[in-house]
Amino acid sequence: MDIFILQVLNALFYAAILFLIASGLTLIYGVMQIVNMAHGSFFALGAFVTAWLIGQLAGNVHPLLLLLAMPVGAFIVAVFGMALEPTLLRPFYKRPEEYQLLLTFGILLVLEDLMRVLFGGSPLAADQPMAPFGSMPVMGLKYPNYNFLVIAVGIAAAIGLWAFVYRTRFGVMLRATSQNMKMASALGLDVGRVYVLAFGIGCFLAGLGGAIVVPTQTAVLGMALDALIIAFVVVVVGGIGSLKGALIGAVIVSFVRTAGVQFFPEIELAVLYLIAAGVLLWRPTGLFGKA
Amino acid sequence: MPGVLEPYPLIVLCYALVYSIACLSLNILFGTTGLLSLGHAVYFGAGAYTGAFLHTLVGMDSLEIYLLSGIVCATALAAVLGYFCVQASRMHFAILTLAFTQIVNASFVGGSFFRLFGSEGWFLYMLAGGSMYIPRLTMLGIEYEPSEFIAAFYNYIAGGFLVTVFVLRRIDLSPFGKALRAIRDNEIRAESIGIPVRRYRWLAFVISGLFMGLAGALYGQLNRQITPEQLGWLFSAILVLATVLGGVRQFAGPVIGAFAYAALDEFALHWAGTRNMVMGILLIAVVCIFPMGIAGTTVAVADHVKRLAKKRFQTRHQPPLQ
Amino acid sequence: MLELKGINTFRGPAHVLQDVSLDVKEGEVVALVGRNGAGKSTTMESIMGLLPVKSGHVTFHGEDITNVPAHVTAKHGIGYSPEDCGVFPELSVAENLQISQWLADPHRTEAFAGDSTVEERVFSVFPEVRELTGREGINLSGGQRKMVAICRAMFLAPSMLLLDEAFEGLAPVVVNRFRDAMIRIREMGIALLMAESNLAHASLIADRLYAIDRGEIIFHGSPEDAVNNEDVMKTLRG
Repeated sequence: MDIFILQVLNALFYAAILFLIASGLTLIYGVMQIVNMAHGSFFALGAFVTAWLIGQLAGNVHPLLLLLAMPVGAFIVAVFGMALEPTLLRPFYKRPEEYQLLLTFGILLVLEDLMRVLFGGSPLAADQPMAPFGSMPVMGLKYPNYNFLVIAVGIAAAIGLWAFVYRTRFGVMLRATSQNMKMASALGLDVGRVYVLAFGIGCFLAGLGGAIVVPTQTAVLGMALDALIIAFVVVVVGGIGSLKGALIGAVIVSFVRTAGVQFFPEIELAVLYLIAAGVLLWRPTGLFGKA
Repeated sequence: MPGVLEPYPLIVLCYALVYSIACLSLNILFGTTGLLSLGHAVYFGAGAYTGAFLHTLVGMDSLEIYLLSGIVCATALAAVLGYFCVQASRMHFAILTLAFTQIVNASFVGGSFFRLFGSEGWFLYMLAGGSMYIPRLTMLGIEYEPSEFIAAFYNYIAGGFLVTVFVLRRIDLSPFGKALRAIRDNEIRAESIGIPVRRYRWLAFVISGLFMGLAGALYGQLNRQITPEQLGWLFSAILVLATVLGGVRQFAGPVIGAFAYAALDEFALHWAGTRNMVMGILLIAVVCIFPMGIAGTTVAVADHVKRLAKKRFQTRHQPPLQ
Repeated sequence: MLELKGINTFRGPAHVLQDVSLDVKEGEVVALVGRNGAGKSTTMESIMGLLPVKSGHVTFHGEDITNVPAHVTAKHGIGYSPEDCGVFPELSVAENLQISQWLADPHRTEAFAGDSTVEERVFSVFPEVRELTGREGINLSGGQRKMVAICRAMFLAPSMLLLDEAFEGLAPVVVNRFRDAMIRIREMGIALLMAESNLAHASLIADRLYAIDRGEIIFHGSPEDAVNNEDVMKTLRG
């Protein structure tokens, strides 16, 4: 029984992180119809910036205050994204998809080395914020209570994002822009501002994902591409452009992956991609996507 | 060529020709069909690795078999993986190709692929961590001295390049090539005039995989060492970069791009550590400023100059107004 | 109040509008008549700033608004209902209308409302829209979509409305209903520029009429003159 609980907790932990990455990716696609290949890099950037901040602050402040480094790290990523959107990405919205993919892929390449230059090539650890939470014994192992915080942040992000998109003025304008950008602007909406904000929110979510996950692992080069591909699997399963799809996709993918690690550790990743390929064959637009 | 060039420039030329084959075959998907593959390194790597396994496991030492087995294996792999990839939309296509590269690459880096060959395979993996060495193989059964080898092998590379150019050019000009362009420009319209979009995309994918296998196999013998890097997403990115740099709408574009990349690669030592960044900046610069690449921009500039010259000629020779 | 002087607009490589000039005076109803593809919608989009104008000038209340972004044009007081109505399909009608209420210039709405409220005045044109507020945009009929789009534009409290094919695809009974609505809008002091492919519909309410063909204005005058003009009638019939 304990092992089952442990696996469910692991899956939920993983789902929370995945949702943070995938919801930003799907939000950006929904509003701007652009697939951002650099999205995983924002996740990695969030992890690196936060790990660096925690490294600078640790020992000088109370460990619980270190948690503040996480939203700050995510915010820095968002600001970075908001500078990138109007300058580099916007001219590409009317260009063919191939060129959008190439451009964002170029950004991915640049960010990969930029992080290496800024933070060094070796992994950055930042596990200090985990200590004050203590741990809980499961099956003779210590399960860190910090992980519950991560799950809570994931749930809060899902509820908050839903409320934001469906219950606020800006949410209505965001949806209007995504449905008919020309008409929204003809009604007096500054679509450029909506784009910047939507992109910023997407980057904030990815950055937050990186920020809250970094205490449990380390910030390493290469996490950008892993995050990108797994987030793509999530949105392929859930249907790109749909927030509900991102949530359910994240849960499905994380449970499948957890089961995969348990039962087929050798081909755990391949199982996920095969599921994604299967969903694409069966329902090319994903579970909740529109044609 | 071997008579004219010193050995070192000859080797650089060989690499450039191998990259040219790879970029030409990538471009039948990207430039002609409008599908961006971020995972073509898989077929390149398959072309290089297949013969390497044959050599180490069963002692095959003929270059012809090395090349042939690489091509066959790459084509077969492209046929299977391509089948899945072409079912998806353009955007999902790029993602799927990337995902497949990651799977294959991970199985080489992590060694699970080598395990398929039992303890012998595992030993190979433990020996070099996924990398493999290829000795100088025999050409038409003849063993060449190291000093003469590259001159003889050059003929295979040049031959392979010419065959690739010939075949892909024929395809490009054929009705099939026109259909692929129709798919690129408007998928729905192409479908409505009766072009079997998915099947044609799949065929383009398989053809592309075949020549990618040829390029990979030639590369394996030329480099004499292959690493999982040749299967990875970064190498795929390099191929895409070279193709786009050269220009995707002109047939010769990928060749120009491959030569430009081979020349750039000579400076690569200076960028050690920031290689991705240089490539990324170059890629962004090309898609932002010269989306037509070197070849396309040259053609556009030449057209412009021609038109200007014609205009001036006309104004100078206009009959006097009545 | 609105004046176009020698407008040239391209759609991609195609030179659609060629030296189009027209003007709309305060409170006037002007129709722009032409066949499909003559350049009516392109004219509308050029005014709104949705398409870049290559040369020429658009002025509104004496201010140059050539190539001003669409959201700024809207703030100047030009409401727009495009040919496809542009109703956001996955927003409710209420949300569709709310957007322009939120975005409207408060000074303008205050002046527009007068003694009553903006809602009262807008819904007095199409009272049936009140009943639709709970529906999603995608579930509206063609006529309902037109009404919602016009109401939505009116919530901006504009001094001018651009209506692209307001009568297109309406049942004959409903056409009269719309004509009355247009008259009601004019009574509120809102000028109308209407793109119409049907001369009969245009002459129902237009004070003046421009005929456009292949991107050029070929006629300008009263609706009666247009009906009596052989060349115009021939061009419009094709």
